Amino acid sequence: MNKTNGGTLSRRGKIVSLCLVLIIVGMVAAASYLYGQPPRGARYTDFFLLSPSGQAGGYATALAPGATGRVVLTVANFEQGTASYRVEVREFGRQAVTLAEIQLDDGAVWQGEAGFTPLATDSDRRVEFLLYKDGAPSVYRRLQLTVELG
Amino acid sequence: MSRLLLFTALVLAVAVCLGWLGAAHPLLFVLRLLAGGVLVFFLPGVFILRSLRVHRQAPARTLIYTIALSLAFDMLLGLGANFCLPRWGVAQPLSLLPLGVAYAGAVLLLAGVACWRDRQAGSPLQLRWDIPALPQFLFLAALPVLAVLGAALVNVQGSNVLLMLLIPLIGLVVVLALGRRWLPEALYPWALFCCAVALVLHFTLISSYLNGRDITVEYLIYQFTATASCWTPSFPANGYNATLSITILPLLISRLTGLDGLYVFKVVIPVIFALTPLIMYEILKSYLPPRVSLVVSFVPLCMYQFYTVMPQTVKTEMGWLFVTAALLAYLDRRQATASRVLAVAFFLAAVVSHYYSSYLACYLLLAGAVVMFFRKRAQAFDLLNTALMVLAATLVWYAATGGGANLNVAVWVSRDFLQALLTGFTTQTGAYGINLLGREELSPARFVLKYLYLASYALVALGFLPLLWQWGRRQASQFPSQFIAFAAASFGLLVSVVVPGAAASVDINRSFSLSMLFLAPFIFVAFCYGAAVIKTLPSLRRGPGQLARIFGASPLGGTPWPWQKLALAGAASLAVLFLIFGSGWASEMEGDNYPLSPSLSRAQVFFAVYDAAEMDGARWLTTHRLGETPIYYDDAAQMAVASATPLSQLSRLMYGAGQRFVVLEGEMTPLPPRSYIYLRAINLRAAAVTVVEASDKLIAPPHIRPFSDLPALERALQDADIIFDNGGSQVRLTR
Repeated sequence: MNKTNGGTLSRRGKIVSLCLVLIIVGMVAAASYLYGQPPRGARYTDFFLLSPSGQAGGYATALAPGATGRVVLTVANFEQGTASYRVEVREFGRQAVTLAEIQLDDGAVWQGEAGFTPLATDSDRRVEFLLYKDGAPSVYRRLQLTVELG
Repeated sequence: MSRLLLFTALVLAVAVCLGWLGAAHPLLFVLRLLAGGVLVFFLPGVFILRSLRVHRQAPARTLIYTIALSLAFDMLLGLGANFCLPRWGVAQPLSLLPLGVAYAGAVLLLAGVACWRDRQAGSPLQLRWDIPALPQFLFLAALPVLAVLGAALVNVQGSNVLLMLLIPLIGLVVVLALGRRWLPEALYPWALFCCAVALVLHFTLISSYLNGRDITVEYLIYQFTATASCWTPSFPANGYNATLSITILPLLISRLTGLDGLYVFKVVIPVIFALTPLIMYEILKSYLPPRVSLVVSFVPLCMYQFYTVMPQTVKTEMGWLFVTAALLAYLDRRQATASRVLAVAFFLAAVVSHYYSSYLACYLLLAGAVVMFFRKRAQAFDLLNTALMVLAATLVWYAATGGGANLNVAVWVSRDFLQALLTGFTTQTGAYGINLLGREELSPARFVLKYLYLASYALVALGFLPLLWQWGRRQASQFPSQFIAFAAASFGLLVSVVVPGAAASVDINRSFSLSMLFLAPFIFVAFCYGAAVIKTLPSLRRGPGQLARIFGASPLGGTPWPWQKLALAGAASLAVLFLIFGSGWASEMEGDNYPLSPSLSRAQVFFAVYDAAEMDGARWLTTHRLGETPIYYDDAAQMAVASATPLSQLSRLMYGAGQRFVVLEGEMTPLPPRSYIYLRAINLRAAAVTVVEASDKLIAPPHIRPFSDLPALERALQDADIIFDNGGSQVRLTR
């Protein structure tokens, strides 16, 4: 179809081949560009709670009224760029209190200790840890612990 | 020969020097990759073929032998280095320097032997630079590039548009292969290889991580070997660690090419596996017209097992490559001694690559010997000898490695099989094969796919059984006796799904893939019979004798070409339908809840395909886990936690440190207090999880269930503490 009788490529065959070479080169270039980009799900911030012993368990969730429980909060930036964060703690339905305002480079980690003290009059048993990013008004990440009064 | 030796020395120098110095610059990295690639995948094979004086083979066959021999040599060399170098004080024998030096020495030795053995022959590298039909060649070459670009687009932008285009384009190649004008015969192997590479890469390149269950554990085992730079056959004492295809081989490729092990698993081995349709074509074209061989080879290539199931397990890919290459060499009668040596080498390579492949090879050879016994006893004993050699090698190898775990598995499977046989079809696993027929399918596309498979089984039976009957009656056939013996053994494998327990014991997905190597041609034969029946329809009224004549005659000899072409169109249509429904293309068009492919429908709860945030959550959980606190997750999240499970726990935990949600009789097993629940963001967005509906996953595949359908889980999630969140995954602690 694309060959003359002599076995050499016809003019149409040469044009089609050239177009295909250009398409392949274009696709290789586009693929190289895309593989240089962070894939979906690669930009994120870890926000987590550890007990003072550094484990994901053994949290102070059974406290006597007036006693203080402690956890270690961690923010780790993997957003592929610098980001600013505000960490707030809302104890047992009360007004949220700012724990820290931080700026982290990509890959940087912040750790801070947070304490919470339930009172016998508190009806809400939850302690919420709220993370705001880049000054946005909505909560970016949210953690929670439920405390039983002993 | 001197030019080849010079080239070898240059490649060795570049690969070893760049490896030793470290190729930080991208250009140096590419140079090292190329030199290492030539060294690892080609040179040993070239020299061994020269040593065996194997010349003037078809280019595709030479390529297959070269690559398969090189890989077999790589495993042997790696194994030798692993055990010999420590005796000379090298603590890490599989690290770059000792391995590079040992490899260079061995390749130079091979080169010397090749020079000595084959000094009369001309240049071994008979490359043809005149590409026939350049536009078609380029169009086919564009398919794998489109697959790579399409996968990148899914990963970065979440758009499947290019991959949705790729599937019909491959279907178009199958259709165009029917005509003589578009695709010249010289491009048939290229067409098969490009389509095969495109299909496997469109699956494996999705996500930056590995896709699939087995491959995740295989990669962890690989990391064991890579971290120690030494393979310990007895630790971890699980069956996977007994296979060199996931330990020494990828490590050697990684060390000598500089490529990260992850990409050896995701790209290199799937591309090597894409040679198997080419091997099938090379086997078939000895007996069938080339165009028929091409179209028939497209049938298993278009089945979802080829590009979805097989790339999820590296050891199976390598095992299949060696078994099919061994069968190619075994059926090659041109240079009997050399072919026999190649067949034995490939069978032994299959043994150390994958236990299941070697069991299947034993079965094929033994069953083939039994069939052959009734026709040609000398060849039957030949098959029997080969089978016993493979069996002995399998038993010795797996008794000595992996803590004997693979032999234990074989014993358990035999025991289950016996129990199922004694209890008949009364047990769930015993009746698995039968249950598959009546099972309610999860989606219309899956329903169509099931009946496509059943239709293909029926066509195989229709095409093969008359031929077997003719062969038994010593009528002439275009297939040689050995091929028919292997086909009969494969047919036995195919029908074994109805044997109580057999379907549950063997992985029918994989068994079916190998059996199609010999059975796919009979789909075409069945269409030929069909065409012959249509042709003689007007005269059928005269009596059933006409039908007996059709099925009693050789289907290709008795069917004129226009009707054969119709039969070929039937086989091609079946291949295209398999592609459209098996690739998940039809599911995606339909907006299915249970699509088949993560490539085309990634945003589904159902798939075990992960991103960085999900993997990070799993890593955090296994790192900070308090003692032995139980971990629960949905079925699709299992491998995220498995891949984050510390290597030290792998010997006892093959699939990670936790357990999946299980639903028994419609209600979920309650989660104990103080348990972790690992959720992916996709679970939270869809408010659903993928649960195992019964204790036996074979009987009831995982189903998507909304939280509202599982009150116990919904309550547990509401009450639980939220202790980790990164937007892609969340960890909760039940109360």
